[in-house]
Amino acid sequence: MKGITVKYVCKRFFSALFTLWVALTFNFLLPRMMGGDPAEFLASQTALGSAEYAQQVREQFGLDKSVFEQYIRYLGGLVRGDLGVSYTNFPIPVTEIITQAIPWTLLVVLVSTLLSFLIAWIIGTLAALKKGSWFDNLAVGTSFYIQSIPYFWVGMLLVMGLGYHLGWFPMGHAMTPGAELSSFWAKAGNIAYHACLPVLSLVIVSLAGRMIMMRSNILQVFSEDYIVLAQAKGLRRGKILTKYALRNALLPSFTGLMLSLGQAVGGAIATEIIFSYPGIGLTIMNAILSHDYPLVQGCFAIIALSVVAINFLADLIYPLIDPRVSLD
Amino acid sequence: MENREIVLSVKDLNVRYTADRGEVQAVTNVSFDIHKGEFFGLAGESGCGKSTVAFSIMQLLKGAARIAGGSIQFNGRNVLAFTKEELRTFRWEKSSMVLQSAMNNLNPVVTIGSQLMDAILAHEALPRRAAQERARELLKLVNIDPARIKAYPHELSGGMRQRVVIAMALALRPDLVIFDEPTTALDVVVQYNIIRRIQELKRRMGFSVLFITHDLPLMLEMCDRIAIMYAGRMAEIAPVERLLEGGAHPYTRGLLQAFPSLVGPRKELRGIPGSVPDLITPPAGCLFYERCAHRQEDCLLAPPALEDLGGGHSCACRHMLSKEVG
Ligand SMILES: Nc1ncnc2c1ncn2[C@@H]1O[C@H](COP(=O)(O)OP(=O)(O)OP(=O)(O)O)[C@@H](O)[C@H]1O
Ligand code: SF4
Ligand SMILES: [Mg+2]
Repeated sequence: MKGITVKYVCKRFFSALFTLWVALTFNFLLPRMMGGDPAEFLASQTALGSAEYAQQVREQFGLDKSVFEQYIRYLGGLVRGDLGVSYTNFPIPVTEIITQAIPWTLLVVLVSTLLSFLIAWIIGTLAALKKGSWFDNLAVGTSFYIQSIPYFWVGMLLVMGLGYHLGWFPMGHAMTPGAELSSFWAKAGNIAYHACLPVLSLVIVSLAGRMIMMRSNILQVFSEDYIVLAQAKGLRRGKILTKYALRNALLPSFTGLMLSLGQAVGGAIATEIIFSYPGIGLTIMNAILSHDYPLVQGCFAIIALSVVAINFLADLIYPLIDPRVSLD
Repeated sequence: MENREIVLSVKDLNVRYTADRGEVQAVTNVSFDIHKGEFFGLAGESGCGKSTVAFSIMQLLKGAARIAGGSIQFNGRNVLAFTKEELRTFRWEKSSMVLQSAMNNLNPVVTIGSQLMDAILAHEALPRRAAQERARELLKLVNIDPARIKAYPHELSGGMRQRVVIAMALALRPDLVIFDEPTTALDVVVQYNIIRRIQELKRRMGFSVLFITHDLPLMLEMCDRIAIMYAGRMAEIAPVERLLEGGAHPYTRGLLQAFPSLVGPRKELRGIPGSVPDLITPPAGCLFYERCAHRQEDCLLAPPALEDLGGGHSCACRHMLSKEVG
């Protein structure tokens, strides 16, 4: 058996590092290529609005240095985990803002992604097993219908319906503002309660496509000769389903799962806006609106890092679950 | 041949596929027996129903197909009346099968050893170690280094993969092994090596073989008896010696003449012109009528029934050919 080699891991690691470097360099260059002077902008936002103030801002944020020098400082900062200081929330470091926002995004996006995949796998498998039954028709029919609804509409509907009219769920925020939650469980419960609608909305819109995909993967695998041969061998049904059918049918979904996990930190900007949920998405949105370049850059750097890291992880897992993946 | 024990007996088998346009009469009134230790061939053009017969025996027909009549007896037991568990043990313990496409018989993400062991462990209560030892023995049987037991299918050549499946088919020493065009996707040399191997193993282990192929010359070389199907019906079943004399059915004769070196004086290679009738709305008379060089008016009355000519030879034609007719 082949197993993962040290050489393979190193190769993947350096390739990931290179990708990350390219992404971070773009992240540095893009805002500078967009034109406009953030210092002027910041100055115009203040009561003073003077040229002296702008100059002061430039010096403070190192914008008076050459681009190359700024680039070196930027990379150096990244290595030390220093993403600079936010313009609009001066002098709060970008890392602090991001560390506050990330857990909320991860909570909502990870839970909804995992939930959606899990449910999609189960419903998709059952629908495929009972192809042509009322259950299958219902699942497929509903999916096509749901898939055609735009996300913001689902979100608004949940907020208006379950939040505003029925009052079953809070309409926004990650926790009840100003609430006194002494015990750990009270706090966890409050957080889970607030996460319900955002999670639900994300599950609803992503479920249909994943379910349809899982169903067709299973049907595809069922038509393969090795399944017929497994039946001919007199294997028990459970064994055929797990070792022969599911192992193969789940491979493409695994790719989808890894992609979604990679995008988790990027978050769901629309979700966080609709549910006023204080995650990375909302942070990016606000940072862009207020021209807070260090914050925008910091967020994108973290997103790039997480995408690259998850891809690296996926590269390590693939050969274990699919022996056909080449180790070169 | 006559007094040898019968392993498989198919009688008046009818199989229909439900299609959009109607029912496909894929197999109609097919009957044949396979004796103990016999190498039985099943030949015929693509779509004539060979695989459908094989799948009926293993009870592996899918949703669109149904057995509309007839019986399948295996060692005197009615296969069509098996319970789920009886069927599960019948499969592979009594009758095993090597499928048509050489390349996709094996699960790509599981080692060949594990797949061999699955077959063994589904039928015998053995410790894993013992099953693994058996799997190694089986690999040796088909000339594969037992050290490759941990190999994945994609690490083996097409010929090796098909040999693994053959080893798997022999794992439980079944009475009958069905080969459905086991070598179509392989090159000729590999193909002949595999066939030789099958023949040798059959001699050694004594199982019966149902061998399906398009390759008539190959069949004439290997089989004891050959059945020729046409448009879902049995045209002729004959011992190889009878076929080498030309066969009695005009369709058989046509097939044999397509390989001129085999029968009689050298003639130019010729296929049989015309095409197979539609199996959803088949014509009333002999289905071969349109293409038959010996047809007469009475052939249109009804499809001819299979007639026993003695000596393991039977034929379905109103105007059978004698040996002399070229
Ligand atoms: N699922 C299906 N639905 C409808 N018709 C089918 C189906 N499977 C097979 N048939 C039809 O049944 C007939 C017999 O098919 P079968 O696969 O048994 O032929 P075959 O002799 O094995 O051909 P080949 O040499 O190409 O493998 C064909 O006419 C085919 O079109
Ligand atoms: S029955 Fe008539 S048409 Fe059919 S094969 Fe015989 S001679 Fe030809
Ligand atoms: Mg076939």
